[in-house]
Amino acid sequence: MSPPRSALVVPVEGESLSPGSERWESFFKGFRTASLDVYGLYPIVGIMHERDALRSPHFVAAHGLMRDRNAIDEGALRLRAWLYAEGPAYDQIVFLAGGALTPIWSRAVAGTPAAHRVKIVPVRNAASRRGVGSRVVQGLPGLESVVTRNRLLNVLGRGA
Amino acid sequence: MKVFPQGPIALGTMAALELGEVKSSPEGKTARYRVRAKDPMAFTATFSGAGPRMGVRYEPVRGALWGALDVPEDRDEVHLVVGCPKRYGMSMAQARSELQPKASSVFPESSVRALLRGILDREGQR
Repeated sequence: MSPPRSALVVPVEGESLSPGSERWESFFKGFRTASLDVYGLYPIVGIMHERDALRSPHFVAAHGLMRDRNAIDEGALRLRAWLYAEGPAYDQIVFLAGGALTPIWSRAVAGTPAAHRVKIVPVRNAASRRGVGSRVVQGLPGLESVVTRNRLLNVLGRGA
Repeated sequence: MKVFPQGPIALGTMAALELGEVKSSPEGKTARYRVRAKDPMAFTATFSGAGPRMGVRYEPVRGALWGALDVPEDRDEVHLVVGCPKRYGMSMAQARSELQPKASSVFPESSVRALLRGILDREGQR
């Protein structure tokens, strides 16, 4: 029996956490398996497999970054369309939620056929929980915390 | 709601993309943009080496959007053909009807511009 097929979708707000960046590689290399696809969520571009994003850096860069209210609308729209088109291919869809793009997830997922297969893993760091420095670090601050790592391992069924 | 932006879409001071015909087929929708030179010297320098990439499909977001350069037989023009597969187009239409965003087209101008940039930079072919 083949293992359940999973998609892991990660919001990309800037270059500090994007496919190919040092943070991205050092964190996700420990999670990659043949049955897991890692995607970046770019609000204007849409959902890109990390492999495709690495092959087309100029395509991604030409869109620029969007951090205002439109980023939530555009990101939610593209994620919802992706869920309709590609969602049926996965047994489980995991979203890492944190930072400015957090509202995208609930808007995109609600009422879709894939909703019951979606799991959201919140990413927070201690500083943002205390209300300190939460606006300083972009790109999922707290991603590398033990709590986040364990949450993700458990959701992906690889917990201890 | 239109699928492709109406334009004209500026490519810096070098050229602009003007939307021509939009076609529907069982595979999806395609739009044909004419690349009109604004700076003939820069235009020639940019597109003179693009011959090997004519007609080669560039699909950075798999299953969602692709583009290809084309030179029509009967005209001395360069066109950018942009396509959206039917499955993604239908998914996008459904998502749009449910979320009702304000944008005037499914794909923004920046995506069409970025497709041309990716083709000229030979992305996806390395």
